[in-house]
Amino acid sequence: MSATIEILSAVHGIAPRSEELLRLGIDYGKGRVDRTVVDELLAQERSAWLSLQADVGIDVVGDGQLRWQDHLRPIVKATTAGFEPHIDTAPVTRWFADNRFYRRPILLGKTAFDGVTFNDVVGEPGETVSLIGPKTFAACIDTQLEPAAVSRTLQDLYEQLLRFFSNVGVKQIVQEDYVPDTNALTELASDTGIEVHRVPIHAFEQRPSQLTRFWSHARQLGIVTSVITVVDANSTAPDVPQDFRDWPTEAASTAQRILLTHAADLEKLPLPIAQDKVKRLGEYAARAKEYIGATI
Amino acid sequence: MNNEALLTQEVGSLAKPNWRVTAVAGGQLNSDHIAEAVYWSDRLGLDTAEAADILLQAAHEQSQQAAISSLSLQNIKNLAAQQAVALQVKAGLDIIYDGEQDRSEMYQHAAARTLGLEPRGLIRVFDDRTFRKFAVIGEPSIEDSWHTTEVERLQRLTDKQVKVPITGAYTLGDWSFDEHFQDRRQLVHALARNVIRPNVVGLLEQGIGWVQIDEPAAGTSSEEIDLFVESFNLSTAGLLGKFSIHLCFSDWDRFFPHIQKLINCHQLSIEFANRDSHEYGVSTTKRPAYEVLRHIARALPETTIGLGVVSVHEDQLETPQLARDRVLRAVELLGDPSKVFPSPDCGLRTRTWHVAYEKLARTVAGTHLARQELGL
Repeated sequence: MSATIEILSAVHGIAPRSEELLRLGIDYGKGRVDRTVVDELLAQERSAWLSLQADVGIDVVGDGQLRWQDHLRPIVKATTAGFEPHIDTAPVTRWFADNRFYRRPILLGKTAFDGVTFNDVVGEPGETVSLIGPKTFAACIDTQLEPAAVSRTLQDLYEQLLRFFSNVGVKQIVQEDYVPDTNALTELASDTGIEVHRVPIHAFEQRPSQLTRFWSHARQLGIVTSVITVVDANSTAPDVPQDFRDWPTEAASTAQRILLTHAADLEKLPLPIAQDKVKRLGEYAARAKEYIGATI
Repeated sequence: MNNEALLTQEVGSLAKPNWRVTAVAGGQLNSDHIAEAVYWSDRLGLDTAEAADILLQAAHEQSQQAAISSLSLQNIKNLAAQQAVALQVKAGLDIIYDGEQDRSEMYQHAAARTLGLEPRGLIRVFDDRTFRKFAVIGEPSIEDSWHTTEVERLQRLTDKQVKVPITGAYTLGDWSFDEHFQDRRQLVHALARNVIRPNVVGLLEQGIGWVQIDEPAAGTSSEEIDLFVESFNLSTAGLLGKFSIHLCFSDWDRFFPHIQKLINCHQLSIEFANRDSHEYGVSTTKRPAYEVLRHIARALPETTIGLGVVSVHEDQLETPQLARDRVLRAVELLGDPSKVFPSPDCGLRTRTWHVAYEKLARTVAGTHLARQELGL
């Protein structure tokens, strides 16, 4: 039985933009407004997103990455060698089982990541950054390279990314895995002081109703950090806090840390609904902490 | 000469002219708007004086009454549809529609007209593209066929072969939040039976011979391809007409073997150019995007292909020679030019009319080159 169980709540990935911001984005694309107008509202919404999470007690706070067009493009745009140029007009490709899309990069060879360009593209990162894991990245690109070369090349790219993030003060990375991955990023980050939280979006996507099966699965795999998605970004349905009765014994024999979070990017929801989901995540985590603290 | 082989077609939407968007949104029409409308009427061989009169009348009403009358607004919408039809005709397409000039967007237009759905908010899709997402809150149904007015107008505007695009049940369901059924199969079946099929029947009763069911969401989940197939069959089975499906931006491998169960599907219209190389040639390595046609030909030997030969997500113009090579590759893989319908990858509504026209014209020019090459 674990001596202590740490419960963390996490908001990760790309957050929804307000309708006003979405319209401004369209207007900017058509040359009707200045970039400064868009940036001003972006900054306000980033601030509001952070405040919301602080207010409801979220532990791993994401800034919403509102200037990220998708999970890959800012990284590719800031990589001066190694990818086919012109990512803004690259093929439009479906984002996994989703009705959002991204521009599919073509990996050519050894990469050279440039942090200055990255900051120009999406702004300086906050203390927490969400990144797709290397295997998810590999699944989202085209390349003529052999799989082993892809793996080496992306490992090198992620090392550059982690060095940059460390240098600009990033403290935590949420590794979003849309395909099963290993702890590679955790190992790569070990010298940087950055803590990595892995959120396997698909591999362990769990609804609370499936918790019993989840605990069994986690125990079999020897998972010490258990990720439980307690709010659903695919639905408007209110996520009702579940019964915690099974938690203490199951969790105590399985996990040292429980990460409570959301399934899929919250950007799939209109902003007001996503805001409500974040509040529910905070409430859920608070109740879980209280219950487990009193029970174990 | 085989006139039934390599017929070119549109896929659906064109952008709406600025003057139409401005007028419908209640914005002030200005001289640039009038000049734009006159420019396109002139370029497309339409009556420029009529275009100027329509916009001047609307602008006059704005100055006198602060709002455009419903009659003038209808005239503006009709002018946009007339120009959209003329643009496709001038580009040389064999099979056309009106560029969906009366539809806000393929999902929103359908969802807003379906009883039992209500709006929830705006969602970003990619880049700066968005759509307004609805929730299903009750049993879905329709009051009237959605397309009666636009089809009546189209039939006045052209005697060319037309193909009417309509949003499919799977996409309508998948892109909506389900707050009623809590069961995907029930949701999609209800939309197919109560919403899409009545619309298809309405189109057939208006004399439309070919209905294209748009299903961009069909490939979203590999576990639900069978549900998409069921929804198409529920929407069209037993009806006398020609039916096709438009699919785009998916992993085509997911569709096999389920699509073999499609009934009454005359054509699969598919996006290819987006993922193809820009090099000339007809080999497998030069035309990688089209390889899936081998599998489609085996799975659906009687089905024709709406063949995307120009990309809709970039302004870069494909050369006719590139379009030609894409057509030739498809003919080689399908073994029959009459099974190939060259087209854009998808609707062109995100491109300007200048770019859209060029893309359509190059589709036609490339097809002409292919016909020459094949001796058709």
